This record gives sequence, C-alpha cells and structure tokens, in this order.
Amino acid sequence: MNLSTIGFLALAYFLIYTTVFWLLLFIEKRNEIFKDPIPKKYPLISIIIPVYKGNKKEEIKKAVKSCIQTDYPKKEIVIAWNGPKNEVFEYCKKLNAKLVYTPKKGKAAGINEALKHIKGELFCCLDADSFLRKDTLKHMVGYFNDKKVGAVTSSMKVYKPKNLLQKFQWLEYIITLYLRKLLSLLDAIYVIPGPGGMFRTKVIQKLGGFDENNLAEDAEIALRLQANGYKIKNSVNAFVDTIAPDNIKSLLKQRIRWYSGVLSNILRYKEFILNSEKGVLGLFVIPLAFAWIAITLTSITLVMLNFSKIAWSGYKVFSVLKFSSLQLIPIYLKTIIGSIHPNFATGFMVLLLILSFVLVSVSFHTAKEKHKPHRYLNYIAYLVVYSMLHGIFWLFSVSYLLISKKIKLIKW
Amino acid sequence: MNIFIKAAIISTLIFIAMFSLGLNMNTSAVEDVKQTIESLQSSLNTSLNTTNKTEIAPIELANISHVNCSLLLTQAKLLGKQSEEVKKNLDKYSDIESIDKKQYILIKENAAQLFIYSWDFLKKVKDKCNANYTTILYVYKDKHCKHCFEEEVLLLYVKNKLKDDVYIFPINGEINVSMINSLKEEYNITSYPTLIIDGEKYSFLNLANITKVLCKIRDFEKLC
Repeated sequence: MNLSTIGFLALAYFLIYTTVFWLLLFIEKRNEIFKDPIPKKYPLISIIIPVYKGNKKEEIKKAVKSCIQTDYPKKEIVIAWNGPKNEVFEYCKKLNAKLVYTPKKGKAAGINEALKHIKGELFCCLDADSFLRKDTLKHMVGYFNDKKVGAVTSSMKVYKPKNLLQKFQWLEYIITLYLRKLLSLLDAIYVIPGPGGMFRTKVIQKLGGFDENNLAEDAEIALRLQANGYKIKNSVNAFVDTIAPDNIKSLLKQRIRWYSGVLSNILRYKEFILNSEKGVLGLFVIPLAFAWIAITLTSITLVMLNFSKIAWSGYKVFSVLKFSSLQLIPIYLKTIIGSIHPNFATGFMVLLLILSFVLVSVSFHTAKEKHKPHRYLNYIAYLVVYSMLHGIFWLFSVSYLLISKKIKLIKW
Repeated sequence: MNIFIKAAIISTLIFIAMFSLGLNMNTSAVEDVKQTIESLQSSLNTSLNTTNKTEIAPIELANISHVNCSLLLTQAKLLGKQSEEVKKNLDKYSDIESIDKKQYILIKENAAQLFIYSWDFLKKVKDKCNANYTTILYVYKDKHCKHCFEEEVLLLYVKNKLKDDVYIFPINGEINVSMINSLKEEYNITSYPTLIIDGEKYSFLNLANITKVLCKIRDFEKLC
C-alpha cells in the first residue's frame, strides 16, 4: 500500500467520522434543536445597524423597516454610522431610528460607539444589508434566562438568491445553519455572525466592546466571551435574511476577511487549542477546523498541480499536433470515459456522497426549507464548483494572513 | 455512551465494510486483467500450435509453416486486438498498483512478455504472408521521459486514424525481464521513446515524421 492510498484511507475515515458524528448528534438531540427557551421577561433590546458610506439607501431602509416590523415588544433602533459621511448619512437621518456617529472606520467602531448610547439590556447587531423576520428576536431572547449566556446567534439565510453564485451561498448558509445549531448544543460556537447576533450589553461593555483592529470581530468576540466563561447559544428558529455577494470578486474579498479573520483569532486565542478546560470547543471543534483547513489546502493544491500538469502536457501535445488537435478531443474523451470503472475508492466515494446528501437533507429540514429536486441538483454543482472555489478562497486567505503585515488590511 | 465514542464505533464499522468492498473490487479488477492476459496467452498458444499453456516456446515460423496464410492472418489480427484489450485493461486498472504493487508488477511483466511474443508473431506473419497491416513496438519509460507522453498521444491518434491497419504494442523499457533486455540489446535501445515500425528502429517521432514514415510504408488513405 503506497502513501497516497494510506492518505486516501485516512481522509475517508475522517470524513466518515465527521459526517456520522454530526448526524448522530442531530438524532440524539432532535428534541432540543427546535425548542427555544420561553423568556422569563422581555427586556429592552437595542438593535444596532452599523452603516458606512458603501451601504445602499434602499437596503438600509429595508433593514430598518424589518426592525420596526418585528413583533418584539420593547426595542430601540440605532444606526451606527462609522467613517466618512456622504449623502447616505443625510438619508439615514430621515429614517425612524436613532443615529450615532463615529469618524472611526469599521463595523466594530460603529458598534462600540452605539454601545455608549443604547439603553437596552440586550443588543442585537444587524448588518445594513440584512433583515430581521417578524419573530426573530422573540426566539432568541429566552436563551438569556441563563445568566452564563453572553450571546445568541441567529440563523442566517441568503435573501432571494438570483444567480448561481448566490444559490451556492444559499446552500452553504443552510448547511452552516444546521452545523451552528449542533455546535451550540456542544457549547462550541466560535463565530457570532454579524447579522442577527444578540449580546448581553453589560457583558460586552465589561469586556471592553468589540475589537476595532480585527478582520473578524465577530469571531474575536465569540472567543473572548468564552475565554471569560460565557456561553454562546443559537436559535434555529430565529431567521435573518442577508444579501450575499453576487460576483466572485466581492465574494473573494468577503471570504478572505472571514477566513483569515477566523484563523488569526483562533491563533490569537491559542489557549483554546486542545485545552480540556475549554470543553468540546478546545478538544474537538478547533482541531477539527484545523484539520478541515489542512485538507482543503492540500486538496486544492493537488487539484491545481494536477490540473496544471495536464494543461501543460495538453499544451505540449496540441502544439505538436497543431491543427489535428481538434480531432484528438473525442479520442481523449473516449479514453477518459473508457477508463472509468469501479475501483477501490469507488465504495468510499459513493458512501460519502450518500452521507453528504443525508446531511444536506437534514440541513433543509433544520432550516425549514422544502426538499425540492432542483436544490439537490444544485448541491451536485455546489460540490464540484463551489468546493473548488472554497479551496481557492482558503489559499488566498492563508496567503493573505502570511503577508497581511505588508498589505493594507481589508476593512469591512 | 459518549457520542464521540459512538460515532467512532459506527464510523469504524462503516470503514471496515467499505474497505472490504474495496478489496473485493480490487480482486475482481485483478481477475479481469488476468483474464484478458490469459485469453491473449491462450490465443498465442493456439497460434503457435503449442500445447504448453504456461510457457510459450520461441516463435519459429518453421513451426507454423503448415498453417495457411489466411488462418495465420486471422490469428495475427486476433492477437493484435487482444493485446490492445490487455493494454486497455492495464491502464484502466492501474489503481491496483496503489493497493498491491507486487501483483501489479507481475501482471505488467507477464503482459509485456506476451506483447513481445504477439508483436513478433504479427511481424513474422506479415513478412511470410505479405499482410497489409503495420506493427509498431513502442518502448517507453514511465518517468523522466521527455517525449513519451507526446508519443503516446500521437500513437493514439495514429491508431484512431488507421484502425486495424496498425497494431501497437507498448512495452515499458524499465521492466527488468530477460525478454525485454534481449529486445533492447537486439535493437540497441538506449533512449526513450523508441519505436520499431515494421522492424525498423526510430527514436521519438513527431506528427510530421511519424506520418512520413508510415506513408512511406503504405499510402494510408486516412493519414497520408
């Protein structure tokens, strides 16, 4: 047995184990997943919407409107303008919300400024391109009955996906939604996504607010809360809709910020890694995340190396054959199709594919989405195309992290 | 029981089941390759009119002279086709190597020897019966061979154009068996790729040159 076969078998076991683990956890905790604690009281919630000059008027208006329309009885809406002003700032003045201003750039700076002005016992962050649903806040507030809970995450969905890229992200968010709930059951959430994260105001104030010099302040605050003994919970019923990037460039920018931000924060809070005192997060989830990153980077590197090797050979051959090259295409295809046969890896591949489909199906169930055939077809395309993109994003993110001191930080 | 342990037990059971299935698939793949090699060997034995199934005697046309040319040609073409089938299966099941390298090497050695016998038979039948096919023995190396991949694609192209007018026998020159060593010695093969086209030795031939060589042998309608 050679090294690549041993590597393949190790990877297969790892993938089987992780999939089985998440499915088993779902089965064992199925009664807890959809149940949100009944709130003992309904405290005032301040909804903070950080806004900067790049946000669109219509989206801000829609975000504010979604806050007004929630059925939560006690709330205040605060727009936290950060950075240079433009005509959108004047527009925000007219909206039915309190407006606070800081010249400092960045979402974290905006939230920190708002924290000085809010009255709510709890506060909920909402990005200017995200929208609350009518019952979102009500589902989340009950988790704060437990005094050790410092934050509650919502369940994000992509708002009206139009193109294929947004449809891929829609699927990704649905799977993440399911996994985040399971992480919550294990007390192992390591990111509180911007749209719809709810916090205990006093706790965040006591901890010094959000880190303004961080690529992923949402990951940093999650780790800081847990480092200080607070828990983070998730409500799978508290949906927040967000507008996803509709082009590769914006998506790449977003993902570099997310991935390198999360990675740098995990490295910053390295006391979590393999620390039994940090529970499942330290002993299982963070090592698992590292393993995933390593697998993703290795896979994408191998795919790219093989692809470039094939492309180079192809170029050499076609340059020799010149005009005859077109005739070779059907020969190549015939040879490739002819070489497909069940082999040692086939069983594992089919099994993993089936397991991943089960996982997706359970994710749809958790996200209360219909099991439409086209969504499963999209998943096949997602596996082929988006997993490649995902790998490329990780390559960029790790490279960015390695050279980040030399280039300008990508700010939100 | 702890969920982590439960997941480990279930995963291990699934893994063992899949591993066994994989080994089983691998065994049937090996059998598949062996079967095509056996049928090539059996055809070769029949062609040589020998009863010894495991060891093929060196080809002497005198031994087969009692057979008429029409039968010889049919047998030669059958050998050519079966050799191609073996080559195809060897490529198709090359992943056997990742699990059982020793077995794969034995299979490849066996196939290479049969290819040489078949090529030799076809070559001699062509000479004796003035057959209109062309034989190409393609000697290559898996690694560190600058033009082997190009040559292989060119031969694929040639085969696709000329169909049954050409029979190609690929031999890995790195296989250390006496028959290949003698062949290398006989034709003084020192570089790769080397082509022996109807008994004439050539080193790497690009498209223009291979077309030129083949068209010199015969005016192939689809190539020349």
